[in-house]
Amino acid sequence: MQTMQSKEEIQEKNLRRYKALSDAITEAFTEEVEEEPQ
Amino acid sequence: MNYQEFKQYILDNIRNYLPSELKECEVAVVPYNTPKMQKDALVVKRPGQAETYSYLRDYYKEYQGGRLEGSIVAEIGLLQGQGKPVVMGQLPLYDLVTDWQQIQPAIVGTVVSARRNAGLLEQVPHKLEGDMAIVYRIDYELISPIPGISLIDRSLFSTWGISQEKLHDVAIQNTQKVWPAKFEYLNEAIMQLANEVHPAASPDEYIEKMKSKGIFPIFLLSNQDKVYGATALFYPGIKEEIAKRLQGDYYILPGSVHEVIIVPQDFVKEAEGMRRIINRINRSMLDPKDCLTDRMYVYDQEMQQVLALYTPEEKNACREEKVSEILRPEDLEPEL
Repeated sequence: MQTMQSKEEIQEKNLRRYKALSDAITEAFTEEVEEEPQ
Repeated sequence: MNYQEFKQYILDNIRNYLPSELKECEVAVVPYNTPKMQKDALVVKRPGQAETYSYLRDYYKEYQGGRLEGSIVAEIGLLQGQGKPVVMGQLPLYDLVTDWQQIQPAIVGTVVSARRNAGLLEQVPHKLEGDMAIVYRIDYELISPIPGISLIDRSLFSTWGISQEKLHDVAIQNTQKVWPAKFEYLNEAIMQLANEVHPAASPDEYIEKMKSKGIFPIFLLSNQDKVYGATALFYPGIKEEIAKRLQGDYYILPGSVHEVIIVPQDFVKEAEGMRRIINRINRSMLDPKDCLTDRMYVYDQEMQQVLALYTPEEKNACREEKVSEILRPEDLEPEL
């Protein structure tokens, strides 16, 4: 049997996921900038 | 009984009230979530037929109000046995749901993974959009005070005598009206959600750190709640509006049923790397049922068209032909 997810639970999980996405993209973007030829 | 005991009681006794042809069918309680409603739904799984949902929390409220549990399980058994779109406490709404003029304001669309739902798509009208599909549901709460949602299957659709294009247009118009699109920076979405999820909390350290780093041009398209908001990608004119705001082409990453990530094409030099990052996080942090597609699309403002961006591996699998490991313009193909 599956358990129900409330809107609040989904939003809390989405918040954690968006933070992880933001961190990973920021890191990748920063590396990309550092690799630019001087 | 508390709610868990009530749910178990229904599961333990429902077969006694089902017609004989359904007694051997699997009975399950599944989550049924939309941006507006999150409920436990009891379903009797009929092979080859769409399911009828019985919302247990609504019945539990009736139980708390003094209704006998035996009366509730008998009603659920009766309505499941009839197999028609039903809502709590109502006899079959067949007359209502077969009347197109009455029912059309309650029709909404939701996007699902076409690959994961191949069996379902054989039973229901839908519109394919790349490797996603829009399916249609009746949200009874939009036309009555009674909560309840049912999936529109081919047999019900055939009673309306309308085209599938008409069904799609009505569903998307209604969905856009009920759950308007929200397009914003990912950072803005994080701040809004943090405020909603933990409104009384002290300043979020993560957000303070994020603010100090500045805003990155990564965007999120969803609805206000950011719950089941990926359908916003299919609202009329939304892709054109985004192109105007971003002043150019952009990548579309519909990894989750909850939102679509949008990245201006100018922002990333290596699109495949961006896709890998987003897919890795979605796979590790999303419920599998909430995953939409790993594929990335690009919106071409000049062509006013969405194109699918294939990886070399996908292209090989699809076409059995060799391609360069580097994505080239010719790897972009009309898709949506």
